[in-house]
Amino acid sequence: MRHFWVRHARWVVAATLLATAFFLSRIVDPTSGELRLRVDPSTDRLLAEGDSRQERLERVSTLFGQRESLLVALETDDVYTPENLAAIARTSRALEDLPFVHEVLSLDTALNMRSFEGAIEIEPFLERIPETVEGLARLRADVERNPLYAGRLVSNDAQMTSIVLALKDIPLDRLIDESLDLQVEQVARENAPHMKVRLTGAPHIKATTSRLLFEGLGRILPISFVIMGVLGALAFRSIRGVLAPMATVVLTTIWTLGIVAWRGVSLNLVTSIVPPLLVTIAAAYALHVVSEFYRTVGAGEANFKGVDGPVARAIGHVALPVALTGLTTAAGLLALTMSPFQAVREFGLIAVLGVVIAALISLTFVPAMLTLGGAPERMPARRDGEPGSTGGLDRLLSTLGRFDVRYRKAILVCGVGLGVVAVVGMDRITLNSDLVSNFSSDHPVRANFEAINQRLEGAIPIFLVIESDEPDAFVKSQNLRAVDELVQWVAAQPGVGGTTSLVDYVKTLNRVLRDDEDAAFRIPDESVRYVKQILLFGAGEGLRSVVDSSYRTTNVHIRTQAMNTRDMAELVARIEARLETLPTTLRGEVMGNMVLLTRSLDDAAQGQIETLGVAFVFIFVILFALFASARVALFALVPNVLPVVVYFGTLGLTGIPLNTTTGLFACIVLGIAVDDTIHFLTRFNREARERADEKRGAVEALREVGRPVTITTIGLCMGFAVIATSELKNQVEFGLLGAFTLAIAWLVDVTFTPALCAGMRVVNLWDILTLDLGRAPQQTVPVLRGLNNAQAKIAALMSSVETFEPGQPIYRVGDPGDGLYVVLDGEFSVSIAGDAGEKLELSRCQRGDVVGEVALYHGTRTADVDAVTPSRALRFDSDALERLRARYPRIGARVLRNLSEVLASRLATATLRVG
Amino acid sequence: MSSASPSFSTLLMLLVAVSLTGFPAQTSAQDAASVPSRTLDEILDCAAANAPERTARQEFRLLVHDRGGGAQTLEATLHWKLDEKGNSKILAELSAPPDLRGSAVLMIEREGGTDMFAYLPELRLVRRVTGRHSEGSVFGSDFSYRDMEQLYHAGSRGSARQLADSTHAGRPVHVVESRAAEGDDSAYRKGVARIDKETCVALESVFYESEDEVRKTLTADAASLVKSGKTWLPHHMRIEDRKTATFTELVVDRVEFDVDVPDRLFTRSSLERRGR
Repeated sequence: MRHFWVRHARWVVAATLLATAFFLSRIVDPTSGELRLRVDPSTDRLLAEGDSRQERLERVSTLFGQRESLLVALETDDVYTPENLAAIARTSRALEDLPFVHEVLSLDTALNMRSFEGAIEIEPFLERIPETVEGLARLRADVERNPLYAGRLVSNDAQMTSIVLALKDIPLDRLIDESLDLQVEQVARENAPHMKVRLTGAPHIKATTSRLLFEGLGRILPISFVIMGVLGALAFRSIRGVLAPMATVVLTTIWTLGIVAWRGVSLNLVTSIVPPLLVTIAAAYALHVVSEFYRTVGAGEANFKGVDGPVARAIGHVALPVALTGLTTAAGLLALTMSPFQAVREFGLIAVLGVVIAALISLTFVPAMLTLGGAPERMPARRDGEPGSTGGLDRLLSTLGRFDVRYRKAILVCGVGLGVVAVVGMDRITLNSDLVSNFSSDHPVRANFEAINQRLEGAIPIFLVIESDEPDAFVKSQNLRAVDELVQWVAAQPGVGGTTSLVDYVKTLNRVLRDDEDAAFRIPDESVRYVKQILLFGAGEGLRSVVDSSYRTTNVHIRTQAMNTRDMAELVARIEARLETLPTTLRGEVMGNMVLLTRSLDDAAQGQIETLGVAFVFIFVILFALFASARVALFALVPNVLPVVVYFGTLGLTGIPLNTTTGLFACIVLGIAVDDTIHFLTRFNREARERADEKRGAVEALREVGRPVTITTIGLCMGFAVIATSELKNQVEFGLLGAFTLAIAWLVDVTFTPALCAGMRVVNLWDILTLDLGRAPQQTVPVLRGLNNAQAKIAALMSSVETFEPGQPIYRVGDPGDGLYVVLDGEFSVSIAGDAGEKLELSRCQRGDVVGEVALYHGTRTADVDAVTPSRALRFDSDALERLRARYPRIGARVLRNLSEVLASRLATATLRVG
Repeated sequence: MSSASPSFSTLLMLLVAVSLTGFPAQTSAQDAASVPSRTLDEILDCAAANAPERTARQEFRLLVHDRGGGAQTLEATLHWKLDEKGNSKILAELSAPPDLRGSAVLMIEREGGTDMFAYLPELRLVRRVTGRHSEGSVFGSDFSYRDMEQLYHAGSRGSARQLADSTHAGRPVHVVESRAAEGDDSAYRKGVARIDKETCVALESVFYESEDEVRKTLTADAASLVKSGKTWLPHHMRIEDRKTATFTELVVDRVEFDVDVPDRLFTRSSLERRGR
């Protein structure tokens, strides 16, 4: 199969480009140029599906008519001047005329109810703009006296006024596409040119976040492409070294996003991280392939496009690790698909899709492209005397490898120590997702939010819904008093800017109907009938937003100043504790989009740690299948667990909170860290087997794999560093933490992993599948008797398979001996020297025969053994037997028993001869 | 903002009034299909003839539905009278539920505006209400005071125009569109009424806040049309406020036209006497 990409390279490239054109047409309409890939910036997908809290919130929002709103604040020296009031009225009316605005609440629209010359006057504050000092003072007094609007419509210092725009039911993507929030800002500026316009509100914050996110993507992706190209150029100093990773990255991105658009899935705030992630992963895969190509190829190689040519050979070497890394990375990400949060599930699915595509393109398109490029005419210098070297890095890696082997125990102890420190740090992890504090302190979104928050009683609304089973509960004075006490307590809490409740309406109506006497600003002592009648008099949309028609449910509007989920969670927890003290007939619940989002984000972050456990299980299963040993799989998992533990420990020790973004990264780290480990282990396995020495195998493997691993890690770190240039704090943290953790993963892979491997022999599935022990080894090789095919191969692989040329001496009398040989193919001659030094052949050994068993126990060879024909033999030394016994006890026991039988048989034969 | 000029709003409410009060039966249901299409004036004459000449007394129930699916039922009596100058007076008084019984609103139209008085029995006081009260909700329903004020008041025909005949709920209807004049501060910029050809009752009146944005829809249940004397009367209607996403059902229990309704009923002192 590996030859296919070489023999049909043109077709492979053509088919790939054709598919790319198709997927590109899914992303962008080729006729209109319109982007078909949709972006859903809403936070809905961050909420757990089927969450009863969401259903309750929807019910309450419907009942009390809650809508998404924008808040325009106009700032000036003094709101109460005729010019400024005229500008406020003009702006309010212009905003009201915008087609997407449902309703406007401002000084120009808010109805003020007051007793005036024996009548009750109901008029907007700005029905007539006062021109006199007295009139302006009266207006200010009216506003400040009205509990429904005081501090809310005009700041207490009279330097800021708010215009609240309830928006029609428009999808957020339309708001973003048409920049509706910015239109609002523009209209306000045009109508109040001499006032400072500040805009805030959840839709604006979400829209700005979305814009920054996708503007960031537009910047990050091209920079990442260039970085991968530069890395390729530095690493390989060739055109194909540049083109291969860049092409892989571009094709992977187009294919993945093409499928996403084709399936009608929208990118959201979480899945938007996938493209830069894929850039780094796809580049890593391609760099491994290209690295192996340059390791294999020779300058001007004649048989370049042959089935045994360098491309085919490179693919033969790298296909398994690349496929496996794809599988394990996909497994790590697949765990995310078990999340109850749609956004996280979609992230997992799209990332898995992208990883599979990246592996596919790296193993098909890249080899085809390398083939079409022809044999390189010159090779950059490699190691001394070898082509393709940069020298320095290889020498450094060799030195590092030797260091790892020499100080193996110290490195392992350091690794474990690091893990312990990290585990201690994990205990300090806190949950927190930034809302507005996600923006830098000088960003207009944050600056405006903070100014409005400070002056206009908070810009993040939440609700406190209080219910009762009693009919007319909230027209009874004792319940109204309980609500009043609760609301006053809430209003005094840190982080709460202001409140509006039924109590405000009742008190205001009572006062207005009693000639505006200040003493009447209270909950009336009169009967239920009285309260009902004054509420009937004041009936309207405002009242509907605080109490239902049966007076069993009331809604307290709380304007909070929370800038992140931690502040919000603390406030909600305090209010919930206070709700416990309500009369038993009343029950309350804190609600609101931000409350729900806070809980969901924190749940999602915690949930991701749980999915990390699932990811570990998935990867363990794959490693177990790969190495056919639970113990080896566990060992292989250690270098992957360590960076993840260090990552979480870093969160705890640095105070960076766990949130949806930082939680998500754990699975990514795991997936990517496993890649490097598998590359190392696979190469180590080959090198150790070829050299029959694990320590040398570890050094060689590091030198060979360390190069692409280091290059890809540099690429990954630079890619994440680019993400850190975002204007959003969580993106910055994501980028920096990503780069840091991958650097840790690299450090572990070039120190801890070789140190760990230097003391172990591994067998992988590929070895088991490809090792040829000849026909029916269980029957023809006594040492392997009683084992099944796979067990026989494992036993063989735990030993060393050695080959000999005809006449090649295997050992000589007197040599120190520490192993026995089991002949697989060919023929050995066993001889001793006669008195005259002539060679006396004692026996010939063929398939299944054992030689050298005496030295295994005695220590010194007692005969000469030579290969007579081209031969292959298994060499078991005491270490191999011990490893086999320890790692595969059942197989080891069987092999030792078989050996005992062989020895017993040999002894019996000798006894008979002597006898 | 001042009150609406009569040209648009009165025309609009004329159509509503037709739907509430019915009109003199000019044709039978049997020959409805053969009724020739009327001119605009004929349609409006037909509708105008539908309204009471001087007085009306109506007992009705308001089923005020909230957004949560709950509903409150109010029972009320409404008295209407037109004075010599063509100004209308309305007294609406709740009879149920018991907690609200006796609550009343009095509206007296005068040159350049409307005086409004509210009476709350528990307070035993009458309060004059001034300012922007006309946009307020009547007893918490989806009818505004302005809707109520102009319910029976047929005035100028303004800028009405006839649109192509159509059908509504399977019945042939005339379609009449009215537009607010420039400077008219009515809450509605445009109204479209579908007037039943057979009964001249507006089966549907759609009120637009802007050119293409519906604010309220008033529908009469054709199945509830009852012929009373010379008029057809819809006994079950529904007004839906798109902005607040709420609706109110109006069920007419009893209606009398041009009966004796004394003037003293429409005075502040009459309201005040209720508290004694």
